[in-house]
Amino acid sequence: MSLFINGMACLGSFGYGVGALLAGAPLPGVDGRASPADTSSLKEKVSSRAIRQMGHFSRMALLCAVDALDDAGLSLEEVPAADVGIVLATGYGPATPTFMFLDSILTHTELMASPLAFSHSVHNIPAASVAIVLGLTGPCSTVCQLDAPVAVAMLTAKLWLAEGRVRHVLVGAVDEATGLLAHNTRRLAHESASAVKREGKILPPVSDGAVFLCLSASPGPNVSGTLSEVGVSGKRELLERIPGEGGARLFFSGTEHGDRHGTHQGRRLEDVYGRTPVAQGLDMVFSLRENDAGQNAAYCINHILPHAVGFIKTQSTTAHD
Amino acid sequence: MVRAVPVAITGLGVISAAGKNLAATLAAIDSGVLPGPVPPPFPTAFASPVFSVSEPVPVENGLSRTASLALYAVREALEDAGMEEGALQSLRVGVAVGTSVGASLDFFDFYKADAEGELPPLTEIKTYLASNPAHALAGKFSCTGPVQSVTNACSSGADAIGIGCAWLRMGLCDIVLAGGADALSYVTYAGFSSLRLPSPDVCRPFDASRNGLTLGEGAGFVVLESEASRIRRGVSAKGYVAGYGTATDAFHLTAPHPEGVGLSAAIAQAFAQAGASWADIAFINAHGTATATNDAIEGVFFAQHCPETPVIATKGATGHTLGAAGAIEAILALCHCNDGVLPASPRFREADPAIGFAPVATQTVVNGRFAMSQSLAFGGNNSVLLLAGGGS
Repeated sequence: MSLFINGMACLGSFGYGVGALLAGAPLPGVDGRASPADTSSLKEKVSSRAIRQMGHFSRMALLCAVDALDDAGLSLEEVPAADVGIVLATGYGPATPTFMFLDSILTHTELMASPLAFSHSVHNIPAASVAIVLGLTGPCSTVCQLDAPVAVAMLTAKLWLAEGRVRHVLVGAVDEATGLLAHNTRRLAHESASAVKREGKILPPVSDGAVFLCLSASPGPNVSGTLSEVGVSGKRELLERIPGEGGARLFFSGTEHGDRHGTHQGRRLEDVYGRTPVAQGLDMVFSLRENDAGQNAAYCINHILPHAVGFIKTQSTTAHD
Repeated sequence: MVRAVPVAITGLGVISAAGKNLAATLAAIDSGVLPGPVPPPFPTAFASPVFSVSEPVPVENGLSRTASLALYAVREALEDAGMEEGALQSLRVGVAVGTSVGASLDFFDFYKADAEGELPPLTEIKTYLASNPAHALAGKFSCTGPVQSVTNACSSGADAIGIGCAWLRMGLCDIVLAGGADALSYVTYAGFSSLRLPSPDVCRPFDASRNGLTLGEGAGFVVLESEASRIRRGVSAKGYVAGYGTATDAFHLTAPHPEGVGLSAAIAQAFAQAGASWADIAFINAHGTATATNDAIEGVFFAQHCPETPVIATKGATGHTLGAAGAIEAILALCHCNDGVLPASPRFREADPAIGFAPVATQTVVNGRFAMSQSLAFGGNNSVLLLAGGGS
């Protein structure tokens, strides 16, 4: 069953929107961390009251969700609220509210710890916030794992549509960089063997990343492509069945470092968007919108288990100027 | 919503404060001889007690307590299913785990030391990175199917089972280890305490004197199996997942919708999948946290929609095990469905006249095609499982 990608949107340390992602500028960082994503556009799209208590993570999610719906031309006044589901993938979850809660304990003692920070640190709250602001009452689920969260979230969306639970799914992926994440990432890199092999190469900074796609079982007016396959496969098995050079584009996302011992050449875009667990989602958007997409399928591949990958196959349906 | 083929459950495993395995947990609930709440297993100025697993749980390979609880319960489920651990790597096995603490940045000691300007060892960070429960189980058993960590707060365990069923129906794997796990955690305890939700003594779901929840820990796992695999192995099903529904209230981040909008929608989905109606429901294992708000809303819902359906709330025995709750309660519901008898609802004594509803106060014979297990979560998530007995 192929699904139609009727709308998409993205945001990150690289900038706001698909154009910023496609521009492909190398991402700078300070102390291993890129600048936060700019969510200021959100104030133009939803009421200030609705986002008053929302943290950065939830704002990134909401901005991309709203933009994906706009891109799809999907009016929530015409679609029953229960007909739209939400799946949100994340590697670390809303880190900033978590650390704000811990800070409130350290600063004010546990008896005065912040209930607001705690409730916003619960992993499914950003997805719930999107549901509340947009008034969506379909299924709402959050995936939290560092390996292939995007592929798994896409799979959940596919299952909901196949089961007839909903007619549309907003599938998103969001992660935020923090100073502690950047610091620990550098400390771990210094300890690991891979750091020796990459000696001399400055690793891309950890970064903010957010992406939302609007998936449906039928094409919309602005359809960008199709999600033709999603799942988990042995890595060798998958690479062997992907058409040879020129037949399909490969993107190695996140913790998947590529086909080092084989013949499949793929791209890694972390120099553009930084190091983020939602890399696979950004690769999807890039693959659907890059100028030379033509009719070639694209595989976005992310490590999920030893010798196995979570993969997403997309097919662009439009040529973009 | 498409009518769905029921998915076989061939193995069950539970560890909770009420018992070191499923049989012990059931015996405690069925007899009414319940564990008492105990002081939290960490220093804290808060006084609310908790339900703690007293059985020593081996911690393997630097895994967290949550991942270790998950492993413990999965091992019981596999044994119950008649499966050797080593056999899993030759099958297509998926892993779906619901959790809250298990996926959270739960390294307070590290964070505190870092905030104080120290350079603490990375041990806690490495434990966090190695301990996503779904990946820990998949790695331990060399699974090759989908792997998903569901973090939908209190409905996570139920959602993991629902997702696992969908994987099997789509032919993505032959077996799914599905369930939930969460350990007691200082950060989560402090968080709930900051929201003034825990009881100062003990939770009494739906009771007139209820004054809050009691946090607990534990794990509950089922072995879901395709009919082809089950028949090939020549094992019988302990029961079936006949329906699963999930929907959000889109109302409030921490309080359920007063009219149960999302709960109604989730029940409707589960009914549609199972081809069921209220007349088919033998009983309900309620979410029943013992907070003033949850029990009032849930109780009024029962009074309005299914006043004749018996209800039990088992958090009075296990505490609120967060990500594990939906799975543990689904397993308990299945067992009570197979028995055809509900014990008295743990720690319930007196009905709240403001609700107009009460769970079962004495042992009650139950009759019907399905047991319903429901979970209402932070964020307004509502998830419902319909379980059919092994003889169905």
